[in-house]
Formats: sequence, C-alpha cells, structure tokens
Amino acid sequence: MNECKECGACTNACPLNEYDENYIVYKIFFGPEKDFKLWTRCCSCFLCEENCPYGLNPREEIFKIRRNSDRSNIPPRIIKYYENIKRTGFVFNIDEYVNEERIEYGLVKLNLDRIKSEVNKLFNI
Amino acid sequence: MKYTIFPGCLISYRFPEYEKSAKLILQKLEVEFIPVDSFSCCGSQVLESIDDEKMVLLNARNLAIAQELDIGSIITLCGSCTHILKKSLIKLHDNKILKRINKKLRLIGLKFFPKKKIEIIHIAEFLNKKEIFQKFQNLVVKKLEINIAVQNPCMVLRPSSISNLELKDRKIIRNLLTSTGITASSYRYMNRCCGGTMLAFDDSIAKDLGKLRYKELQKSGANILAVGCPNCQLMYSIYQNMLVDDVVPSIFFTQLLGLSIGFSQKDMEIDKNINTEIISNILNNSIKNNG
Ligand code: SF4
Ligand code: SF4
Repeated sequence: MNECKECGACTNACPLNEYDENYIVYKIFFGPEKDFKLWTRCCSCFLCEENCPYGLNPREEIFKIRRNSDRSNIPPRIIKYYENIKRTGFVFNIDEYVNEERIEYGLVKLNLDRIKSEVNKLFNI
Repeated sequence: MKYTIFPGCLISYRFPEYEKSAKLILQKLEVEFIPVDSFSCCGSQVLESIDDEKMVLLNARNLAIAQELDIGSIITLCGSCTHILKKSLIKLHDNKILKRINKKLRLIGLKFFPKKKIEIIHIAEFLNKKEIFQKFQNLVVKKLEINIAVQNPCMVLRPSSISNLELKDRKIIRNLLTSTGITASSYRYMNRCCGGTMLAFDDSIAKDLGKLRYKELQKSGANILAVGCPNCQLMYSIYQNMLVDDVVPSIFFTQLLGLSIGFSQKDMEIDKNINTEIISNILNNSIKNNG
C-alpha cells in the first residue's frame, strides 16, 4: 500500500475543508491520533479518493474508523436510523400512508410485512 | 432484458414524483418493466458506517429478489443506492463473503447467484446508453425555454473504480437535458457534492454547506436546478427554502425530460414540488414562448 505523502490534494478537494479550513482530511484519517468527534465529518463524496495522486482512499479509512469506533461515538440520529433499518428494512418511516401515495402515483404497493419479517430474520430480531 | 426501478427509502418517503417520472419515461421507451414490491432500502451511509457485512447482506437480499424475477438490470434513482448496491454486488463476487451471505439468505428462502448477470445502473446513465439515447431523441416533442444548472449525484460519478464513468462522461444529466433544447449554465458545485449526506450526520454543518451552494446557484444565472438524487433534492428544495429568500427551485431531471417528451405537468407531479408556483410559472412562460 502506498503511503500518504501529506500533499494535501484530498483536503483541497474536500467539501468539509472548504467549510472549515482546520479540517485536514489526511491528518485525521491517516494520522496517529484518530479524533472520534470527527465521526460525522464526511459527506461521502469520494472527492478525496478521486484527487489523491497516490491512489489512496481516505474515505474508506473514514468509514473503517466509524465501523471500529465505540458505539458511544455514533451520533444518536444515526443510531436511530440504524434501528429503523433493522426493525423495518428502511431508514425512514415507510408505512401504509406512504403506500397510499405510491398507489395514487401509479407505483407498486410495497409489501411492508414481507420486507419487515425477512429483514428482521437477517438481523436476528 | 427485464428492468426494474429500485425506489429506496427517501424517494418513497418524500419524493415519489421522481420514481413516477422515471417510470413513465421507461414505459414510453418501451423497456420491459417489472415492478418489485419487496425491496428494502439500501441501508445508505448509515449502514455502511456501522456494519458493512450487514450492508452486503441487506442488499444481497435485494439482488436475490431481482434475480428470482429474472431481472437483468436494476435502475437506481439515488446516488447512495447506486453506490451501495454496486459495492455489495462486487463484494458478493468474493467467494468467502458469498458463502457467509448465502447461508443467511437461506433463512428466508433466497439465494444470490454470482454467475447470473445483473446490472446496477443509475437512470441518468441508463438514458445515456447509445440506443436508449437515440430512442429518447425520437420522443422529444417540446422544447422547454428554461436555463438549468445541474447538481450531479456524487456516488454515481465516483469512485471511478466502481462507476466506470470517464471524466468526459460526467455530464450525463446535462447532456440529456440540453439534447431536448434546454440551455445550461455552469454551476460551481455541479460535480462537487451537494453535502446532503450531512443532513443525517450533522445537520448544522449540512446547512452551512447548503448556504455556500445556494449563493453560487444564484450566481449561475440558471432559473431551475436539475438534480438526480433525492438527497440533493432535499438539500436544494426543502432546506434552500428554509435558509434563503431568493431560491432557485430544484426539480428532478426526469420530470423535465418527461415534459419534453409530452407528459403533462400533472403527469410529472410538478405540484408535489415545494416551489410549485415558481416552477409552474417558469414552465408556463416557456410553453407560451414556444407557441
Ligand atoms: S469523501 Fe469525505 S473526506 Fe473525502 S472529500 Fe468527501 S467529504 Fe471529504
Ligand atoms: S491521502 Fe493522498 S491526497 Fe491526501 S495528503 Fe495523502 S497522499 Fe495527498
């Protein structure tokens, strides 16, 4: 694996750096100290990966850090969405009201019971 | 080949007009469309951030359901769904992962077959396929006198290793719209992310990212923004309205394409847009000018 040369190309391309110049992508994700408070600072755009001249993939590192981090670091809303997925198969609340609108729009009615029961089984609920 | 649309959750939840307009276009193009009633959502960056094995599992279920119905192509509408489904599909070609996942899928009577070819393709990319693009051109009956800016969905364009889109192919949405006679302005953020994923992770940052974009959008001179992802639409419709006074209304590009091939504003559910009035005015003027 190539090593980070700290050239800053990823950071220059990152939308979060444009917003906060102290947000240095490579320092956070390849540096020795991982700041878990920054768990939320990535909008998943792949601009860092696209712009790294050395073929590195900071975004993937970010997601690895997230997956390995303690549950207490995860923002509460993300936990809630995660629970929704396990419980219903969807991030957002997809219910019969949504289905009524889908029918009105000529879209297929979702089989919410099937989705829920199968997803529950896959997630061991 | 059989096709279906993957609705995902944000579209069902908030923007069914995107799915409807896409579906009507596909039907007019006479593709063999199979409705699927049992897809879950893709899990989005939420699941990708917490448990990537579960991400593959959830989507292996979606893919296996499509395979069972002999569907060869899943057309996606959302950037995130596109990326997550493609990524899951790639991982399912790793034998070790496949074995673990299929063992779980057996619990619900499903199986993923790695040799059975199935394609994940975003609607904009699909409509850019040579023969489809040609067919679409023949359907165009109306030229909309509007000037658009485009916000491309990041996770459709990138990463290059998964998207297979060359840099030069990245005008997929703009191409389609300008081919109908619509004009386009350049927009600083076209390929630089709407920031929409931040709405889930930290919405105060999302709002600040939004404000940077709304300013540039006004400077672009466009009177409508065309988007190809529900996260972008959330950023540019609901949040733009919340955060600034002079909005440039945003709309799904498929709704504009639908109008140009003869569907009505009612068919395209323009009413559903938070800025219906502004958009209808622009569209009605455009039709007047058109004679
Ligand atoms: S993927 Fe994340 S870290 Fe990389 S450029 Fe985008 S926002 Fe920044
Ligand atoms: S990750 Fe790549 S682009 Fe970023 S600083 Fe390191 S070498 Fe440069």
